[in-house]
Amino acid sequence: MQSIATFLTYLSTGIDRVLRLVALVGLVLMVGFIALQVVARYGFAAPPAWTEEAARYAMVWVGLLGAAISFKTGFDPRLVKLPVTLPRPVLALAALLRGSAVVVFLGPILFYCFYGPGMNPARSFLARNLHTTAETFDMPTIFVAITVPIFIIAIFIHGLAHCANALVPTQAPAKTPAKTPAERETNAPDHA
Amino acid sequence: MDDVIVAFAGTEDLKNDAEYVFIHAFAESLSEHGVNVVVHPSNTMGKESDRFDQTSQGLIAVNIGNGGALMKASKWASTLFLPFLTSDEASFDRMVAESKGLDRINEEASRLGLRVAGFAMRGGSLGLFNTEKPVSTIDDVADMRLRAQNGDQVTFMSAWGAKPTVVSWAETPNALQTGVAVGHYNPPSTVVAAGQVELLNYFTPMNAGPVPKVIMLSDDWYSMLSDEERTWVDDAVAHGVAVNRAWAVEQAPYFEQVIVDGGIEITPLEEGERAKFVEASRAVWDQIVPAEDAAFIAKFAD
Amino acid sequence: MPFIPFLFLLATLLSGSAIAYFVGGATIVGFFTQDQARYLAALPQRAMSQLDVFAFLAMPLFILTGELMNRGGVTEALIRFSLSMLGRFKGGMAHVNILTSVFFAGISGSATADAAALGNTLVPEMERQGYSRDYAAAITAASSIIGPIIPPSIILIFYGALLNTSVVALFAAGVVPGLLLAAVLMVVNAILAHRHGHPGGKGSEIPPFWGSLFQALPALSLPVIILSGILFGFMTPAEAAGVASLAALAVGMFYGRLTLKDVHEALNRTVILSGAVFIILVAVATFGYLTSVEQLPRKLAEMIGEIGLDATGYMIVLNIIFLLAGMIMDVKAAVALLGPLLIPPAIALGVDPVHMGILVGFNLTVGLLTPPLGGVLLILSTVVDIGYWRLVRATLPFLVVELILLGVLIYVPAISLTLPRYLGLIN
Ligand code: NA
Ligand code: NA
Repeated sequence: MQSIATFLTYLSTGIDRVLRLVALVGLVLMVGFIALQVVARYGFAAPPAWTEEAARYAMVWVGLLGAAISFKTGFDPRLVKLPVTLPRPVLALAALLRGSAVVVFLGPILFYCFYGPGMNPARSFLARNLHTTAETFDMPTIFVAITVPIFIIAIFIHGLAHCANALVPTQAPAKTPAKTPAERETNAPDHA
Repeated sequence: MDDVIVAFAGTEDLKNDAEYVFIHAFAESLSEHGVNVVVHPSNTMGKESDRFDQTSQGLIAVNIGNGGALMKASKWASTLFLPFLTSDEASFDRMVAESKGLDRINEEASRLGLRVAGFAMRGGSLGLFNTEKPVSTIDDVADMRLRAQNGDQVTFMSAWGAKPTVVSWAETPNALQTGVAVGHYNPPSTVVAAGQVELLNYFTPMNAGPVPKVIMLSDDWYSMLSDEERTWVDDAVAHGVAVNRAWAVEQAPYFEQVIVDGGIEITPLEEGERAKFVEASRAVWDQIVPAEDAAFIAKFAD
Repeated sequence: MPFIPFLFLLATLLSGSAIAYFVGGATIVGFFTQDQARYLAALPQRAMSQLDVFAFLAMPLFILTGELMNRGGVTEALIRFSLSMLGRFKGGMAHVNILTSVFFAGISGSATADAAALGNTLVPEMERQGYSRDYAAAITAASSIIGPIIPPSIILIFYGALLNTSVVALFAAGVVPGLLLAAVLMVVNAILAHRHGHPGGKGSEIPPFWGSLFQALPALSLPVIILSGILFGFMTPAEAAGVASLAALAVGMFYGRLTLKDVHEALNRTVILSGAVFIILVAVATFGYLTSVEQLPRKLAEMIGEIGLDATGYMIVLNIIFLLAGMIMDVKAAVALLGPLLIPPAIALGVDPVHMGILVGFNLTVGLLTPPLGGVLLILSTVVDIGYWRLVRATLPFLVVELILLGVLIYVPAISLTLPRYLGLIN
């Protein structure tokens, strides 16, 4: 149990680091594409046609990976914050319910990333996006679609790591990246 | 036979919406066999890419999509949408039939569980709208900042000598207001439907081609039908297309009247100028689609 | 009756689940209980395409702009400039608070961002000058909602994208109501300042007008870039947002305040905020899809048609619904969830969609100031360290005034529509 918890924490932290880096690059690209679009319109003879679509795709990356990072940080707004003074069984039940909301919401979406009509993987969401291309440049949309399973899997791993650590309360959890005070905010405890 | 789920972007308006004219006639024809059609208008089932995807999975039986959505699944489809390929609905239909264009599209689209059954025409022919000045020669569009829908439009508008800039359709009214763009390439029916009549000042008819909307059927749904039911559907599509064509021909003058009444001046091209646009556009066909496809479809062009 | 999904929603909500997850989870349960589970296959595509919207580009970019402004000394320069103009009046610092929100509004589109930034900087300063913490926090809360009314506005961008209404026209329509809101708050503040003897500016450190104007010039260029770029100029809102974020970066570096670490933190926080917003959007889109599959909008429109409400009656019902929604829901979730359902019937009854947008925006932002879940109140009570219900009580007089102003906006569409008409953005 102990080693599983350590491993999951390690994995969750590592994934979070990578996603933060990719999302950051995505955001910078977004600004870059939009700026290029403005400059090109007034500066170039024939402005590139792909800037808008590329910026939108970068936003999908930023938005979905951002969702996983926000989950890990515990930033997502909630309506009710349970007092920690409640009896342990109540808190455990609440944690179970929070976890079930995450799994019920994202589980089917993840499933249909890999399976299509008639349980056929060849007609899954990802497979369909192998056959469609972007409108203004020659790129299969799979490079955008792939963010959907990535962000869901990341959220599931973050949730599992959190559960595992809750079950092994004596051991201090492995190091998580330092959070700025602004990030900690009001919603600091995790979801699952 | 179960209810037939139909989805489209427009509204249930028999006077102005070409797609609904098709859908209505399609539903009427099926109702003769006791089949009920459930219509989801106004993108309620999602935007182009969503409806396309749901049709591909059999969740929507019939979807009316735009050419751009089709091109994502069938590269060859772009060939039918080249500028100045045909001048009106009748010659477009003739070209599709003679070139066996639908078969080639469906060869590619079937990978995604789609079957293109035909086209619903928007009504009227493509021309150039602008806010700036009367355009009657190709020299008039020199350096004009035109809104382009996509890279293909950038290519041929550049060939005219204009300065195209890609702006999404949702942002186009703003772009016209602020001068981000001063014009775009569309038929009068689209300008009327988009409520842009008051934003624009001049229209140059170019007879650059009709505006076909794509009638997509779900392969899953279609192949599950019995032989008899399939005949009903084929007949209903044929009936819908026929009613749409009659409507398109009849409505074209109506849309022109609406834009004139709305204050848009119609400025025809001078003698010999259309030929210059045709020549400039055809010269870049092979930059828009593969050269062999361009050469192939040219045999069936006007 | 969808009893089971509702039960699931309630249970997960009370367990402390985040909004996105209990809305999304309950919706999935709804797909099963309504016997529409096969449509779940469309959800991965919808999750992706829901974000792939041109008009949404403006949102993360404006968030980034705000982050860079706060870290780069832009906010501070704006405060000093306001102080130089209004510091000499009774209740002057509270006027400054309002005016800074007006400037801030021209740059940022978010009330909670305004409240967090000014709560951090202005409230301690006001307390130092002798205001009660209650009053300082209350005026910060009340004036923060100018932010989303005066363009740019994340709520209006949202509304425009979801309801196919020109964002530029909406922005133009927000200018006068936003300035009116500021003027009304200043009047209320002046009255309260005289009645309760609030600190005036005599002898206190008022920065010299020209000096602080000079200092603030680069900062003031930001709203000018954004507003003129969008309203009169040559950029779409998304493009203006992108240029503004680069301008905020440049101004921050000009002030010599922005380090590489600041930029990194600003980017990081923008990613997290955008992610939190977008996952709510995905959840809400999932719910919206269920309502479409079930043809709810059509049924609702038919129902309202049967009741036979006229335009005014429907508007009143609609405003009450949105005000209630603003009290308990995330603002963007409320627009996304209720807008496409409730607004088309109003437009069919002859209400101008742009006027409607301003009312919806005003309604929802006023909801940020009302319990139980007023977002601005929640954030301010955390930032300023004041009891939630104490803050609610302190804000109440301003809230009442704002509700009266809302009534005026409903009955006089010209307040909203004159400017966009004059600019030729609507008929
Ligand atoms: Na604003
Ligand atoms: Na303020």
